[in-house]
Amino acid sequence: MEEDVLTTLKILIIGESGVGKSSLLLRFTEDSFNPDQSITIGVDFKTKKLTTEGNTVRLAIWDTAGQERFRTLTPSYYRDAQGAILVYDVTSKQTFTKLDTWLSELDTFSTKSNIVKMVVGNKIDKDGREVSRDEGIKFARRHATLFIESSAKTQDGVQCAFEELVQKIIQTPGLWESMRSKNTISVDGDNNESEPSCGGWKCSLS
Amino acid sequence: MSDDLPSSYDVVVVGTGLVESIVAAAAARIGKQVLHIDKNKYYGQHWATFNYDDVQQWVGDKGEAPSPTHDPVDNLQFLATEESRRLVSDISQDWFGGVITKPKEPPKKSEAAAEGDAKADSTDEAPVTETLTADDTKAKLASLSRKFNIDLAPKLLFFKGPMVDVLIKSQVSRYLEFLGVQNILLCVNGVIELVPCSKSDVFSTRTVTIVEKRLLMKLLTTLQSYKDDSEELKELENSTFEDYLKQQNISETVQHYILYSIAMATQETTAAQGIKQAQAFLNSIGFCGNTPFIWPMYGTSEILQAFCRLSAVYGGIYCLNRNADFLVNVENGPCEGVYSNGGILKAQNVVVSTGLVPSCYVNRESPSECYQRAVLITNKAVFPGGKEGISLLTYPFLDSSFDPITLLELNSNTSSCPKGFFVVHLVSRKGKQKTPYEDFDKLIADIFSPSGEGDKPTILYKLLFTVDIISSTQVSDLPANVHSCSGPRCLSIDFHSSLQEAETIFKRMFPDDEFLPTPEAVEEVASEE
Ligand SMILES: Cc1cc2nc3c(=O)[nH]c(=O)nc-3n(C[C@H](O)[C@H](O)[C@H](O)COP(=O)(O)OP(=O)(O)OC[C@H]3O[C@@H](n4cnc5c(N)ncnc54)[C@H](O)[C@@H]3O)c2cc1C
Ligand SMILES: Nc1nc2c(ncn2[C@@H]2O[C@H](COP(=O)(O)OP(=O)(O)O)[C@@H](O)[C@H]2O)c(=O)[nH]1
Ligand SMILES: [Mg+2]
Repeated sequence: MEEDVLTTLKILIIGESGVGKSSLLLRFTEDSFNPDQSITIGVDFKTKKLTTEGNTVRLAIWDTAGQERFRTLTPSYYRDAQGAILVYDVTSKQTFTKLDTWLSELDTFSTKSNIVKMVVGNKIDKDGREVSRDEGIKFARRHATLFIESSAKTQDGVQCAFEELVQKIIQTPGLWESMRSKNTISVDGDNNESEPSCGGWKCSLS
Repeated sequence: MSDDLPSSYDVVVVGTGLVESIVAAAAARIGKQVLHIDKNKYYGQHWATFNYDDVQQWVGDKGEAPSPTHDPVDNLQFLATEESRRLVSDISQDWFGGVITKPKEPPKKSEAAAEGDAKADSTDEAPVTETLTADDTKAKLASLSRKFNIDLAPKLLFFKGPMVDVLIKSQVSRYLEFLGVQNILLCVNGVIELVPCSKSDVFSTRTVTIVEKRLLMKLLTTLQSYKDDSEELKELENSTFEDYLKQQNISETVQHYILYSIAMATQETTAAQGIKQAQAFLNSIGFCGNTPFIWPMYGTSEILQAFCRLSAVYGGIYCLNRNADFLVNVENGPCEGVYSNGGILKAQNVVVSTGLVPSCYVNRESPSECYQRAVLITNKAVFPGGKEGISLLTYPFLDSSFDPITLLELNSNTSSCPKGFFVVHLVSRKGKQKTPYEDFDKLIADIFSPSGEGDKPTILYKLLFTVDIISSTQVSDLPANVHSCSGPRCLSIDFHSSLQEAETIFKRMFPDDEFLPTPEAVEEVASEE
């Protein structure tokens, strides 16, 4: 890991299908937007460096890979995440109502009790709003989460959402500092012929 | 149909066992349209990893037989699973009292910090002990339910084995983390010893004399030198590995190390097979400390979930909690698909668990792989002299009264249990026992103690069950486009046979395509500021 990077944070994006999760991810990491097709397929996770308030972190942002559609996200998707973005579509009440279910799914599976959550109302560029900003704020307050409205299309609020989330994670004691990195051993496809790379603790094969 | 699923697929996979999941991933990976369903709300079925509450529910569910719902559809023939097969039997569980010791939690620190620092912090603080009655244990386990990850089918990977190769090649490895197995142990005549596995272990061990060390080193080198398919090896097919070792001028102790721990063989294993098994072990040593084995963090089920994720990333559609009642079949022709939620899902190929294959295709006479399992929750490590971490212990019966028992002990580092507890898995072949779990009782009497005398661990919870896996070799005459997948073969410690089976099924469906190729250079790292 580079000198200047504080740590790697795992961030999840969840919410109903079609609310724009993959779009937010691609807008943030690649500054691209595709208005037509559903782009869930082929998006696994993306990494990006982010500097906020003088701290640089690497974000690994995970997409649902479409497994949210029939609620078949695997428990391992949620593991060890420090942050979760819960997305709804401001032009669809139903996606907002479903956030309760997503919150409880997150509570069931997340392995860190102090995971930082952010509720994001997406597609504010679109006409036909069904969920007011106020309703969104109230929901977030009730569940003690961060809140922002965004548009993956116009880029509004996207950068800000990730920055706020990261700031909050960094401020949360114990959420990221003592990552098990001291016990982690990486067994790279490229260099696994070399040294006994696994000091006997944890290793990842990559 | 109620849900907006596409109505036709290249491959419909029914059941989320490991073989099924690998096949789903491999097919989706090369661009095939895949639908993957399971009747359960969770992934894995016989391969599942459960928390403590899930285990309770699973034990409770065993009583009721699932009733198939017939919904006749005209001019289509069903291949129905007429009777539900009892694949799991002789289930029982018990709770016991005991004393648990746990490091004092540093006051008011958040979870992650406590996890990482507890070891350092607790060294100078007195550990807290707590005496539990059986009822206390029951309540305690329930209250800690989510801290347990209990495998129905515990497995290890050889560090240089084929499963690791596939995980790296396909990059499924990036969804996974592993721990090395710290202690390879052998229990003979009630005494537990650390098995010297590598050449450096042999040098430093104190259980072997200098002369023997030489012989053992030479033998380890010889074992590794046999070439696959060589004449030498073929000649060894007719003798047992035990006899082979007896001719090697090494003491009984050392013979046992090699026979039971390094080759993980039985008295009946042929010399050729024993040598191959020893090679798999020895070839994996030296990369991950002195252990050939790694264990998937959080349990076996992680591996199949990782394959399912790969499948989903490449467009595979996932539906849990959904029945696919029957295979829809045209008389003697290929299978057309499955019938699910009142509709037909067409498929070029159907991949199903053997447990779902209609019994007319299953030969119950041919030998099946029946094994006994125990899950124990205990309060101490079985081998206090070992390194902190995972231990793999073999418990042979020298008089051949039973086949060897394999014991895998997981501590809290593995996320299998909370601090202060251990999860111990036992597996043995069912066959020679006159009463169920007779062999386990002997091991338990040797290694554990209800009162903790002699520093032995106490069993707080014991779950016993017997599994009868239908192997795909028992299935015959299915339509050519229906492929059956065996359940977990717990008697072999690694995933090799499941991987081979998955690759075979894949090749049968798509003979010209590569099995789980490396993804094109993904540009995940490209977009940095
Ligand atoms: C270690 C072990 C754990 C088990 N755990 C459970 C359990 O938690 N719950 C349980 O119900 N049975 C479980 N079983 C199986 C159980 O004992 C019976 O075999 C089962 O009740 C009958 O299963 P089956 O014949 O339908 O096929 P199985 O061999 O049980 O099923 C094979 C696979 O297909 C899936 N499947 C089965 N039927 C359907 C269907 N109609 N539609 C879609 N998918 C389907 C299963 O989920 C599984 O992935 C377990 C068996 C073993 C060996
Ligand atoms: N107008 C508008 N459309 C959006 C926005 N975000 C996503 N979309 C569109 O909504 C659809 C679904 O987006 P996608 O990212 O696939 O949603 P996901 O299923 O949650 O991952 C796509 O057609 C996107 O182009 C947005 O902010 N504004
Ligand atoms: Mg998406």
